[in-house]
Amino acid sequence: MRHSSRLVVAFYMILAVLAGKTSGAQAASRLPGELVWAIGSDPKTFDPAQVDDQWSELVRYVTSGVLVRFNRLTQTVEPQLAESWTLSADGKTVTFKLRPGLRFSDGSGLTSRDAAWSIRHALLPASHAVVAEEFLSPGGVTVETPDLRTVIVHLPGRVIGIGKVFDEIAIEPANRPSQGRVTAGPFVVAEYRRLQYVRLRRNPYYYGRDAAGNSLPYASGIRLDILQDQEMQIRLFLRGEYDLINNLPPDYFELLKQKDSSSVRDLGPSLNTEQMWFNQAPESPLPGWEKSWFQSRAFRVAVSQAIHRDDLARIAYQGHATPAYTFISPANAAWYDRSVNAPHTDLAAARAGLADAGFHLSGNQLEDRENHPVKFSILTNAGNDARLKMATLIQQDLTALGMQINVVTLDFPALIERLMHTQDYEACLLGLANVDPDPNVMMNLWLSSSPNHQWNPSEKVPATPWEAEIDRLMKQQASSLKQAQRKIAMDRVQQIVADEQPFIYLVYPNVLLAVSPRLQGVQPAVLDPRLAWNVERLRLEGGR
Amino acid sequence: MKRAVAAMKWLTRTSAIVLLVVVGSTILVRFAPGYFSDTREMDARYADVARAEMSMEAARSGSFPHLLFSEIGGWMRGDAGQSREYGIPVLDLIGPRLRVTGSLLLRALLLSWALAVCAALVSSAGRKPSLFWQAPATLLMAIPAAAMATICLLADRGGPVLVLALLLAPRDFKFLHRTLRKAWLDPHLLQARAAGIGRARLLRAHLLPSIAPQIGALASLSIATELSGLVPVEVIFNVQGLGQLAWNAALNRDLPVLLAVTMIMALAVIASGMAIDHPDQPGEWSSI
Repeated sequence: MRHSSRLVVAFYMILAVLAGKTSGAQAASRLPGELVWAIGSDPKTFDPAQVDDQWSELVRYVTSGVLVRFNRLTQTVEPQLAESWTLSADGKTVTFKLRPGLRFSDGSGLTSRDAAWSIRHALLPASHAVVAEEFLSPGGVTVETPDLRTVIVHLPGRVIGIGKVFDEIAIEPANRPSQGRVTAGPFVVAEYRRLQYVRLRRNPYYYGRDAAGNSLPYASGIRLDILQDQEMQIRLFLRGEYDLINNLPPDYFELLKQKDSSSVRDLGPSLNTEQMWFNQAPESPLPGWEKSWFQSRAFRVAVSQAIHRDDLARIAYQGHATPAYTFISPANAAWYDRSVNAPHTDLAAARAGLADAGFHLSGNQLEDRENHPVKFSILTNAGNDARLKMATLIQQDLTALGMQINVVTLDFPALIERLMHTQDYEACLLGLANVDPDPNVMMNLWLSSSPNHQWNPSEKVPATPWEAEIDRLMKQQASSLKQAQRKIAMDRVQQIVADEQPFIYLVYPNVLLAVSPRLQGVQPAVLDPRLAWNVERLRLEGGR
Repeated sequence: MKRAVAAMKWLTRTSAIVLLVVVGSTILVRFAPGYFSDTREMDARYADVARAEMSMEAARSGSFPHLLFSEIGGWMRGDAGQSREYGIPVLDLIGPRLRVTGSLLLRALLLSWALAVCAALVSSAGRKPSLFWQAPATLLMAIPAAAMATICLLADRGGPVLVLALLLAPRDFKFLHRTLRKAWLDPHLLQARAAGIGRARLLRAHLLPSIAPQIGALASLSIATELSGLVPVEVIFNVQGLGQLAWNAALNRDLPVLLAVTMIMALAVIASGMAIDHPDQPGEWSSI
């Protein structure tokens, strides 16, 4: 017995030793002076012209040299490889003057010919560059290089925010595209291990210098670990293995705050919105009476009035969200219209509006004029806790009106099939990520002919007069030369949307970040890439 | 001649299983909701690119028989196709992950066997079955792999090897414990013990050789059990292996990747089953 007891003890000791070994999710060891954080999946491409996903875009941002950069903090366009740039009075000619002595990361010289080649390359149909569409008629764009430092771009028509468009065109060596391995930006792609990490190293020839004349970037490199699991990301951040987290869900924010309150930042409302909408598509396979509810303005307004947005922000986002009534966030000071008159929470008004529209209560159940009980499902995506909580709270709020709501979660592919292809859904709750403060980027959302016009996609002609008016106003702001006129047009669009409630805006989620106390030079911005927007000035304590 | 017929039978059976796996996986993924959709369709900036890719996929896999034949034809030519999610050849994606998963399974298998054999040897030597061993084994068998992995993660202790080992060890222990107890009670061993022959010598010379076939069968079952826990363990611990790849492929409706992973897993199970089914393998207790 004594012998077996010893064996038992040894057995449990083996277990204890094994249990002490934690799982290692860190993809590689940190090099001296290297910054490390996680990205959600592999970048789809390192070709800056072919970027078509969030993570490729981040790699392009931190590696590319661009003629001008849209400063994410001040929200102004600043010269970068170009020491100056001018836009002609008619808005059709952009002239860039390059800095003298520019070089690529391999030491070769950078001239206007490289810039011209890169612009033409991005505009070629074969490149399938997303940025080409922003030129509206990319085929009509011509580029001239009168000397080695001057680049002149002729546009067939005026393009809103043309400066920002050049923020997305990486200048590469002419005829030598390198998949990010030769760049004029602060970093270059040094190593890529699929599903593990992307390692970037400092570009020794980067033109940038700080106020004291020290060359930038400060960090020797960046390692972007490919890690989907946010919980693991938090653990590694707490262990000091990651230096920043660019997007924290509210519950993880609170968790980190409890452990180290100095490491988390709440920047207030983001540009993103969370909204709910009803399927108004006439060709959807819903019964006719449901279509008529959803196409009824009174019904949509009543639903909007029944929702307690303060509770959504307080409970679903643990206070890290701001109630939303329009599609432009207060964080977007230039375009936000404070005077928009939108339906606020008012249960009595909601009931009265429904009664006027022919709805009535039968016991606790709301019924329409033809005695159909008002029952519908709200679809949302699985895996987003805050969204699911919001859906549950909305379910409760609408019960007060006598509506019966089911909340259905689907994985993204199944959800998108229902929304975009079969249109077999009643209501949906999703978010919209806005990456640009200029509302012109929302053109695809608001134009009635667009497939992304969610509540009734790809309308051949506007289904309602107010949609026709939105179409007209969006086109008007896109062609207007005067900022004030654009603002008036967008204010009117905001008011129409508030009146008609095709999207019932719920909250603006706050920008929640985590920053290691060791990371210096941090100036968080609301716009992507948030903490990494000034990546060349980030460094670890004790680094150079 | 008998061997050739047996080999043909085995080959036919294996091919039929693999074909069933291919057809089953293709049906499940191709007809899963969302096969012809892409999350980028919701992003106005990338929607056009996504729609163009989806149209190409629709042209490729619009007809199910055509899709099935093209997948099988690709495999026959040694081309597993391109991943829809990553846009690279499936074999390039699978190669590095196969090594990670193989290493994880092997380490977990060794650990679980070390634990199970040690525990079974000690517990089977006692006069009565000990609750000290049986209770934790029963408890562990009742905990799903995903729950064990989550507990480890929350406690910041343990890892994928330990969880897979703890998934296997109690099952292996129970089997070994029963087998060993039965073996210890065999008349010739009782007589040998009465004659004063040492336990170690009995174990080495009589007991282990007599239960070798059962141990072989248990080893093959262990592989199948490990594979069943692979997906949750790799996903929860973020292990860049085949289980995690299969999970992502299912979520993203990445048919070529999912087909490749399921075929590898099916082949692994078939290969492990060969140990049991081999015609030359001695039958139960035949070596005594």
